[in-house]
Amino acid sequence: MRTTKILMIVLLAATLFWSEPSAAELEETSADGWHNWHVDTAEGNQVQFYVLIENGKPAKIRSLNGNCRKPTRDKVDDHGTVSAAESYAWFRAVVEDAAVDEHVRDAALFGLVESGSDDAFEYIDQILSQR
Amino acid sequence: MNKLSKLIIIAAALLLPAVGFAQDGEPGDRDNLKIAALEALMSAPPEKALPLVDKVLTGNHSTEVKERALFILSQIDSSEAQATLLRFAREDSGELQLEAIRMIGIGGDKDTLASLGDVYQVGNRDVKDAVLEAYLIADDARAIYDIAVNTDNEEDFSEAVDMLGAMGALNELRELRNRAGMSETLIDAYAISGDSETLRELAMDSSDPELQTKAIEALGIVGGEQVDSTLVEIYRNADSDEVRDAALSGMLISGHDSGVLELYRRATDPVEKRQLLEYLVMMDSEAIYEVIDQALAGDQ
Repeated sequence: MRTTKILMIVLLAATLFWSEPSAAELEETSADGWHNWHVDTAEGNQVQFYVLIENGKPAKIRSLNGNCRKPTRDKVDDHGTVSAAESYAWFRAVVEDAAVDEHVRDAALFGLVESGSDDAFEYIDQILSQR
Repeated sequence: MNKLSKLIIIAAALLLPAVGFAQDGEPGDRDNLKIAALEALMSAPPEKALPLVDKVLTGNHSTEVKERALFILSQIDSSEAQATLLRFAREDSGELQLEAIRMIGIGGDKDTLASLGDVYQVGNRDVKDAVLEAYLIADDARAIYDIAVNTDNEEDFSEAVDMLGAMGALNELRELRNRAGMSETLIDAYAISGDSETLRELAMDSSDPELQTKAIEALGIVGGEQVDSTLVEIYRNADSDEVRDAALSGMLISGHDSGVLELYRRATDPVEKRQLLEYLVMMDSEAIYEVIDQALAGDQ
């Protein structure tokens, strides 16, 4: 019984450690259409992200810096300022979603890095360390 | 199956998807993911990106992944990135060394490009070619000129001159004209770079008949109305069969059949007329029918 308890604790800890990061602030991005949010980076820059959702999945991801023009004239659902951690979590979920187009997943890797979260670099390190 | 085994299986099942899709798929898929991850680092600050790129370069990864890591280094604006590229260009061997050299060309950092001069001096033919390619990519004709003007090795000279020709580096090629023992490669380079002016001067210079005929033929490669007229002029004023034949070859190369036809009509020597007619046939010229019609009508 004691072994079982220890295993359960290990299991719980491991599950928490490896669990998918949540993206609470960006939960509403599942609706089709353009979505936009921005992240204030630790370097003092602001990165704008524009994402087109089609059939519930990201179809285009654009990251813009400074005075770049927005990539669409369509209505954009603006999610305002989002934390680096939330932005990272959203992009990571896209990277790991096998149902998303490969090029969009690659673009999500850029968004993940540009979000500037330390977790992003740990995640890239994790990918690069795979055997 | 006992309880412990079941728990271990459940734990493994829970943990597997958690380490992400990075472990999924074939080795090629994993490499593609690594390459995409490396490319994403181009948008990261250098101090964040460099340690990860360095880790890939020193780790156990495929050549393809490491080559992409070298490319990422070339895109990072930092002296550390340039130093790492140069270290691979100097110390590594095989494909990675050659790729590092090319990436220095892509990066275009002037100091690092200048350091490739030393790499060239001690390198084998592959390394030397990669350095020339790096200078080509960086559009650094002066560095290639320096190699050409300072070498005693004919192969090194030829390769450098070929590259200058491909770059259309007229000034550097003209400066090499007075180099002792000018090779035929230099004439080819004038032709490839479209330098009809220098070729015309060489074509008129009879001090070295071999180079002169080579220059006349090379004019045909450049082509164009002015060159065509020059070739006809050289043919008419030729004081040797070699020069005349070279001018005819030049017209064949440039496709100047109207010039050959004109020469045919003006020629009076049957042997010469026959040779000119043969060239018109070789050129698959429509003019040949005109000549036949005139011959049948008794005009010529």
